[in-house]
Amino acid sequence: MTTTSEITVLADKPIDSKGSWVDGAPYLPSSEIERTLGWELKPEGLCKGDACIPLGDKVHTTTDGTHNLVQIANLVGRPCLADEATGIVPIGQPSNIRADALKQRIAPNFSLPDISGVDRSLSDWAGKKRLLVAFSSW
Amino acid sequence: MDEDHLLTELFAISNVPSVIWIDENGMIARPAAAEFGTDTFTEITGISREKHMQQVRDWVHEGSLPDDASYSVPDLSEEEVQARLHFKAAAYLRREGRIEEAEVYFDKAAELAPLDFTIVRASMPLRGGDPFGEEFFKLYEEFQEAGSPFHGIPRAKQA
Repeated sequence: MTTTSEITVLADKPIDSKGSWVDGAPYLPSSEIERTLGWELKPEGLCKGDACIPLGDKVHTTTDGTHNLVQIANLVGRPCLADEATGIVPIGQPSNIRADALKQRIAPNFSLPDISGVDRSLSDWAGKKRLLVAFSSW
Repeated sequence: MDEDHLLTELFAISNVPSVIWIDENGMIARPAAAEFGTDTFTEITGISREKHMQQVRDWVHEGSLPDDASYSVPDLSEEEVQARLHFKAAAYLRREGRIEEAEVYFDKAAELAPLDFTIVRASMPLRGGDPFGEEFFKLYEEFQEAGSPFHGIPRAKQA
């Protein structure tokens, strides 16, 4: 069964998209895939920069040209949940980035807002020794 | 401010405070370890603020690393990855005022990672609980009984 509706994708930030639910799975048009995940659908596959991943038969596409978002997220190594009842699709960080941090010891860059709302990135202090301190205000 | 716990996904952090040393080349010189800015909790944790600060000074001035810096932090399990997705959903729904729907996700996240402080303890104040109250001490007891599972340098190695 197909239901057209707004789908809120929680990837790097919440983005509301127009898509549809097909048998409980979220489907988005190509333009929305790029807007929410940063990967562009091209004839050669799912592309970002110089990298392209062939879709093969791993991603289902409907006759109206929308794509299964869960399958696309998984193809680029991002874990994903989909819940038609709430209309949200939380998507996690790429597993290979965490693997590189833990095994290769490559610190992944990230940006988060400071207490004034200004985005700060780890790379803002590139070339210096850094202590990354994760704590809670409780 | 890390409302969605991005760092817990990128670095496999499962408790706070967690401190990671990153060198000039963007490489992790010492992986996550529970370190404190004060000795307020030393009696409970056995972790000295000064010991860590001296290790940091030695690293900065002399480039020397403590033996535990070579510790390899295990990756998140599939359950822990799923728990983080559920927590992200819960936090979003709560911010949107969809409290009942958020509660379902908070419950599921805690079920998937029952001893992960970034999931269970972090959700306490978001659900009207007290992160220093009875439910926290129950969690802490269960955590200790399970051998203090932690994605970071084991405490015993810091003694």
